[in-house]
Amino acid sequence: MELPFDRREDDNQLLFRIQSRDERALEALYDRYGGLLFALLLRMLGEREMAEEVLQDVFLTVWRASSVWDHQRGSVQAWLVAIARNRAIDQLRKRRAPSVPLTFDLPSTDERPDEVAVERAISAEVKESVSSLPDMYREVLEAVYFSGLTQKEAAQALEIPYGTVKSRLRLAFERMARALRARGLTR
Amino acid sequence: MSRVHDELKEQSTLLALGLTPDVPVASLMGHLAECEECRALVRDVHETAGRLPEALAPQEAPSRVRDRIMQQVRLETGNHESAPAHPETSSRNPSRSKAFSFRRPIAQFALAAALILLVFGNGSLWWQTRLQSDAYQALETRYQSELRWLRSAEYLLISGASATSRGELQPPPAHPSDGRARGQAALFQTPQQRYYLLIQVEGLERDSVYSVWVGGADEKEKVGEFTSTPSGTGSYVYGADAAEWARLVHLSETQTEAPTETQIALGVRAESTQQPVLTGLMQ
Repeated sequence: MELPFDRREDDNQLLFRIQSRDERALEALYDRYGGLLFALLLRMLGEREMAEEVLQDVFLTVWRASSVWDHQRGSVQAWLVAIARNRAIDQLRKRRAPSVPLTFDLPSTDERPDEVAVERAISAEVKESVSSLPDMYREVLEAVYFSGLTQKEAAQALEIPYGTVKSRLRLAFERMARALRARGLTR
Repeated sequence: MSRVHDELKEQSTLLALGLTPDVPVASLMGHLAECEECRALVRDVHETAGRLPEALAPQEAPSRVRDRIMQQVRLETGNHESAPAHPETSSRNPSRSKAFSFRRPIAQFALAAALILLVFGNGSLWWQTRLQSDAYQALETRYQSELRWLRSAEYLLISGASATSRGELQPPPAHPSDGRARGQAALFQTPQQRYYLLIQVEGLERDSVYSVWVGGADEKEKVGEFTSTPSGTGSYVYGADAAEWARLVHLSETQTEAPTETQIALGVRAESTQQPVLTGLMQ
């Protein structure tokens, strides 16, 4: 299986080219990550039109602020996801209420027969890592990561103490990180 | 190891997800600048968070969004060869522009209705709307201020920027307050030669506007303002390039009581009374 580390270097090269104002590199980056980010934005915002608008904003931000990107900061994917989440949280805050329910429903990854086999396998591994989390961790992850709630809002929504949200969040990420590392998906 | 180090396991998760940490940001950032183990922890959470969307059902990236992005990029770079034949639909945000054009009659009607209400109404509706709008604006301002801080903090953490100066903020002797206000400040320099001044304060009046200044005893330059939270805490981030920061530092150096080359004077004052609340030196 091709591991993301190989892709990571390609991603870095794309960003270097974007920093040199290469429009084709931006198109290539969109083709590579547009779908992933769109899935995240759709999940967080629940509205196709809004998700498209934010997606556009994310890639224009990458184009305009590419000079601040530094390959030592981490992977391009993590940077893009952080930008997309921040933008989506902006929108959720404006609406004052998340549109997605506090359930962690993971649809099948078999919906796209044209998906490259390697990418599908990697996504399935990530999905498996998330699915293997106990419910109490997944619901905190859902509330904070996908619904954009603060830790206090999540504590109210889930009716658990504030400190429990923090500890479950930490444990969820520890388990996720361990599982991804064991599968060779992160360093 | 310090208390901050022990607590960072939970705080790193919060930071990497853009949430407000529970410990003073200056001490947290200061610790991170020196502790590779904790920086690695933050990077680990950041990378894991970056993989989570892969667990969702895959989506096709919309081709029309791709077209709109590239259209905008070509406009910005002056490459009009592939730009559309109708530039009026290609404003800064093409999707919004199209939507506005489509809804213009509705927008005009709404504007006319608002004007009629404003002119002929008994005023209460206008006043009520104004109050709601002000309240919303205040919330937005506070949120944007916090968001700015969080994003800067996240950036600094991941980039491993180094802390160049730190200092404690105390009530000034000439203007003794009730003694509750305390704060910390830290200055970070990024690999791209940008400077970020981070301030975190507690013991303030709640829901009040405070300004942050940098400079000497007589000459102070306001660099920004923030609104305290209902619990009386506040935070602020000021970002500047090397030239702007050098100018501000020079402002400090020229004062008689001043700071040496390695010291920077700064403070916080209440906007309503213009009274200094906190001052300090970073070194």
